[in-house]
Amino acid sequence: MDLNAPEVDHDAQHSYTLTVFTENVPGLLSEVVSVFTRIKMNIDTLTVSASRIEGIHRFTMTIDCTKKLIDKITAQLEKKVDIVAAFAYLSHEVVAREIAMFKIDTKVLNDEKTKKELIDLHNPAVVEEHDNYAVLIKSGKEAKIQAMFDYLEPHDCIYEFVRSGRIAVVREMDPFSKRLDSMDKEFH
Amino acid sequence: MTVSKENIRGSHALLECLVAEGVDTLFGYPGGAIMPVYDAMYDYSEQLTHILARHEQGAIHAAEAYARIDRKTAVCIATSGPGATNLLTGLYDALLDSTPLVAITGQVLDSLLGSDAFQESDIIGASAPLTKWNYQISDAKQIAEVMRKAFYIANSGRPGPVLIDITKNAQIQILEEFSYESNKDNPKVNIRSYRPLPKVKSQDIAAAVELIDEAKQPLILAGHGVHIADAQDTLKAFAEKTGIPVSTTFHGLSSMPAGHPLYVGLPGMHGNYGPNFLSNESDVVIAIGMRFDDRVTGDLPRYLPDAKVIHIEIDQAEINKNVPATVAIHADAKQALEALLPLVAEKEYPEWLARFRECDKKEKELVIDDLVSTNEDGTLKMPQVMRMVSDKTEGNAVVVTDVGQHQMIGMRYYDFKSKDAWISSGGSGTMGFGLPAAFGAAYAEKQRAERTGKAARPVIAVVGDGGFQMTIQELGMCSQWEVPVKILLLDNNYLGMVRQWQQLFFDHRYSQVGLTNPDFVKISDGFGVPAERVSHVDQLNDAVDRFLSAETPYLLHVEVINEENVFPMVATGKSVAEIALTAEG
Ligand SMILES: Cc1ncc(C[n+]2csc(CCOP(=O)(O)OP(=O)(O)O)c2C)c(N)n1
Ligand SMILES: [Mg+2]
Repeated sequence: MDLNAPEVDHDAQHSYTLTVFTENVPGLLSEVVSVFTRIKMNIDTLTVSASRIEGIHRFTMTIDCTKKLIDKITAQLEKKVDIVAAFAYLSHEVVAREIAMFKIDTKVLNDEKTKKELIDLHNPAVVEEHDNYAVLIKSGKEAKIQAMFDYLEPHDCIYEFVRSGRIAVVREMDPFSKRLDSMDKEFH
Repeated sequence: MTVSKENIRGSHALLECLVAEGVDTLFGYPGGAIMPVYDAMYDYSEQLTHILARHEQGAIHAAEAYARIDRKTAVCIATSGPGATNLLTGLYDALLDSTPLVAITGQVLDSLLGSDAFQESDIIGASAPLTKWNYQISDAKQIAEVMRKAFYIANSGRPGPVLIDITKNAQIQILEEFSYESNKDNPKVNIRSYRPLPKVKSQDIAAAVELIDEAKQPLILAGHGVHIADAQDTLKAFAEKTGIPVSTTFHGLSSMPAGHPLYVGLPGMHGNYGPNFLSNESDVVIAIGMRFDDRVTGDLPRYLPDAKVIHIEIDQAEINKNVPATVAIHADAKQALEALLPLVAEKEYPEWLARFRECDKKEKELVIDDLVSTNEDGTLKMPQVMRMVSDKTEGNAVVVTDVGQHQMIGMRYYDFKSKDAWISSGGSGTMGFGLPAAFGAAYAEKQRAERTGKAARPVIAVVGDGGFQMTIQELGMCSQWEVPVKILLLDNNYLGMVRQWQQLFFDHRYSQVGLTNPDFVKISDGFGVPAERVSHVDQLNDAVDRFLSAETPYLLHVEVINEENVFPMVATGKSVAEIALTAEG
């Protein structure tokens, strides 16, 4: 991954996946978010979880902006004392997926034809089935989740729909550890 | 030396940390949620002097200037709720002007947090965007670790304000064991998310040297980072070896002595003609510890169109933020200059420098000469007064200002001969800064004099009639502590800088800029600060003499003509090369 590679047009819009590694301290979510609210920028998705490393939280965000702006954003994020590192990736540099949960009317599953079509086309996991409702889980790329939603919506059967927001791993081998190593070398 | 104590209250532990960090002065204001700490101060009166301001804003501005004058972390302290929120303007000011500060605020009991208890405010949330770091201590066991971190973060890398909120229960909690290792004893604090001091990279230095040696019309822009890194002497040596003209930014002012053959004045909105008019002709710009603020660059797309930029900057987020760097040296200004110095070639640029001097001549003839001269009717002009003060103090005073026209005049007409001598609110332009800041600077000067045995430099607070009234109550702080702050009130009976803009850019429609001022001499007198008023040139000389020789705080109220404008000026949206010398252009 080299975001400085000349083929990236600095003034064109790109869809970026940001991964931000932070200390696990209270108030950090608003610290991270403030970098965006300050410039009136929408965060399209945001997930927070533990990372591989103890005490380090990992934020995954998706943002549409220019290369010029994303560089400033990562610099502003890294400037915060409790943020260890922030990386921005273009779509081809990450493997990204999303999970969605659907709570739907059981009638959809009771109708054999619709059920078959749903399974064939979208292959969700049916995790619970009750008399009046069922819970389906679908994971995949954002478009696939949207497609399943679009399929179900005309059936007028969705009680609840929730998406996790993008989670992603990066193709590069362990940039975070590399960054920690380089910080050790490059700083007093 | 590690401090170790047994059975000590949180409040005492907190003060132990301060003492261990070498703090001997606190600026603050007490109240309910911080009372245990104020009670503990009683036991530390030998080690800690608390200076009671008249408003928390006064306390924090005093602390800011106290910190800035010799780069040491200052401490201010306030109670919860309104005490804490009164600090916010100062935190913001300190953040934008890279000032090392630890602000301590009291907080309600841990058990009451989130209940809208009396004087509970979410100061952590409120101050987050205005501080470099903040933290709430709700258990006394956290005190040592958090205070150590607070002092480390405040004064490393690019300095800034840190706020520590401490709940009342943590203040009264008894610690069976307490130990504290200060940053002085062990400067290495390992915070994996915060690495403030980058190493100078030899390949960056080599790339910069190549550009510098080949430059035809180079220019140095020396900023606040030079002062913060205490790199003034290195800067001078570097400039003298390379022969490159030096322009100092607003916060770089006093880093090069006025009159130095290579010093060419200030860039920016109300800076000098040469460094604005000629900067776009330079082929190599060496920006040192400065951040290309919009007040410096003018219209950004038309700034430095042909220059290769070497940007020496400790804050990574400032590199490529406004002006792209051809060579970025992510480092402390002094370390970078020390690395460059032995490698650069000795050169001179007589023709290039001569062009700056031509610009100086033009500025002198078209702007300055008239403003420092005497009006036929004897009325006074700010530059004339400022120049007299500069001459009479031989450029060796510390000048602290408020915000407005008088500030620009202080910046332009005081010829600084000593370093660390200019303190003003730049990034935030905070009216009300001047008087309390001058107190903090004067107090620091007094301590420095006691420490070194050298005479304290006079400290002059240059204030306007508007801003003076924003923190005028701090006359009380000055008189209580008998610190000889010299207050030079340049009174044009207007919010002058706003009036200037209304005149020039809003078609002369003066909206809410006229003031009915009080009798400043009487007010000052009421606070026990001797004062006098002058309005005619015949009175000026003697009055300035009395002002400068006073050994107490002193107010010199100078009534100046009302509608003078500050020029030259790079108007908003203009390129620096379009700098106007007069209203006519
Ligand atoms: C707290 C604050 N409020 C408003 C302003 C906007 N402002 C900038 S300069 C100025 C006028 C200052 O008037 P005065 O103190 O009399 O100084 P002068 O310009 O007349 O020298 C104002 C209102 C500011 N900088 N800070
Ligand atoms: Mg005024």
